[in-house]
Amino acid sequence: MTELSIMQISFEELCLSVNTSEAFMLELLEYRIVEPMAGDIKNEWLFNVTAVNAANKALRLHRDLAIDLADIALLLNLLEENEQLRLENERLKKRLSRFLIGSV
Amino acid sequence: MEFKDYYAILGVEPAADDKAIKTAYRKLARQYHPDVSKHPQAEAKFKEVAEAYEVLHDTAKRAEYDELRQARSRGQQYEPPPGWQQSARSGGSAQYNSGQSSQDFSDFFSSIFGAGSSRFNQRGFQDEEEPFRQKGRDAEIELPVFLEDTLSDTSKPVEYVLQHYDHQGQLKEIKKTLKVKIPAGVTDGERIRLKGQGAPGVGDAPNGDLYLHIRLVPHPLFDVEGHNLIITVPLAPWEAALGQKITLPTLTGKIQLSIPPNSQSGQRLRIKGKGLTGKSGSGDLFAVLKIVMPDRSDEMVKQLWTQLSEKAAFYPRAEWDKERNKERST
Repeated sequence: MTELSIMQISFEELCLSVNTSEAFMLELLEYRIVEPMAGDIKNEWLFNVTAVNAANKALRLHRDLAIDLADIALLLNLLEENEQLRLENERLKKRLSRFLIGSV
Repeated sequence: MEFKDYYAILGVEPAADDKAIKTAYRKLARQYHPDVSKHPQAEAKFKEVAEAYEVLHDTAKRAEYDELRQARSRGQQYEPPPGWQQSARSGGSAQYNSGQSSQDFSDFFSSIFGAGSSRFNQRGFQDEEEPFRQKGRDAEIELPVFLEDTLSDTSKPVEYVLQHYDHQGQLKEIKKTLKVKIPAGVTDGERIRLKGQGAPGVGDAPNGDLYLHIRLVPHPLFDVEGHNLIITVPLAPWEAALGQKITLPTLTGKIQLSIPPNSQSGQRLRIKGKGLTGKSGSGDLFAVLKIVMPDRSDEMVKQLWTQLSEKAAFYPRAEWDKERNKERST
């Protein structure tokens, strides 16, 4: 049985998945913690599934560590940037290792 | 049942005031919060710290706990009251994923304060008359995908285990197997959501979801840069000098590639359309040339190299001498 893969979701679906109110989700949008990939108005917004992950993370940090949403946006950006840099570093090391003899 | 020393967990004295407790919690919470901590036991440690704070920052709970602590120091063994059982609540997978955090406090906590008595639980709790209902916990698993699989839609079997508390509060493990469709062009780190494949919901609430976290498996030959692939091509020095037709592996089979004469190490040759599939067409394959030396030479070959060195009139370190001369003259 093949299951349905969902990679884009509506605003309503996003609120349900994160189990939070529309008001809170709109705040996350205001701080650009989540952003729609497409759509001009709320009913037409489409979010990448990663928005669920980002929203959940923001919710946890906000509640568990009492961090303001404004600060969370910055924190999440830095965490994301950090992760991207880490991955790029790994990729570059791999490429470099093809030219070097011994460890990088 | 093991007695938990909440003061020790927070690293404060039993006589610590509210401010000291809050400060201690904040420091440890930031240190061990799984979203920002690299500590291997982050989730477990954070739950422990959060539970300690839950008790010690609440006047009533702290008083009750202190009484128990006194009794214990007087030599009384800690016994949970009869019938303290955890109420039915939906557990989740081992992955710390959903917005519901710190919901499963330790048995020790539940035995004193009962389940569902913390502020963390309030979101799922409707009111006393309505049956308890809460959406099941989400689960996330890492899904390794081979580069070849991303070229077109593929179907993959996936196995995972869900942890879930049933109506009697028993922890059950549910083993699940699914066949999932991986669309073409998925990239490293992308997430795919499968609705309703997470832990069962409580009451008539829906199941949680399953997230597949895509991780591209490193390929022995190809490196990934966005939608492009890179292959490093070893060449003998004479092949680079004279040019050579070679057989080049690609993700979809072998092709012929002409190495031009007088090629350099590090030079890139582009093979269009032989990269990864993207949302908007295919990336390219880049062949990066790497000149390699034989690791030994017999006498005849050595002689040939010597002749070449005399005839070729090629000095690769000219740049260094240029720099040195520049320095001297200034």
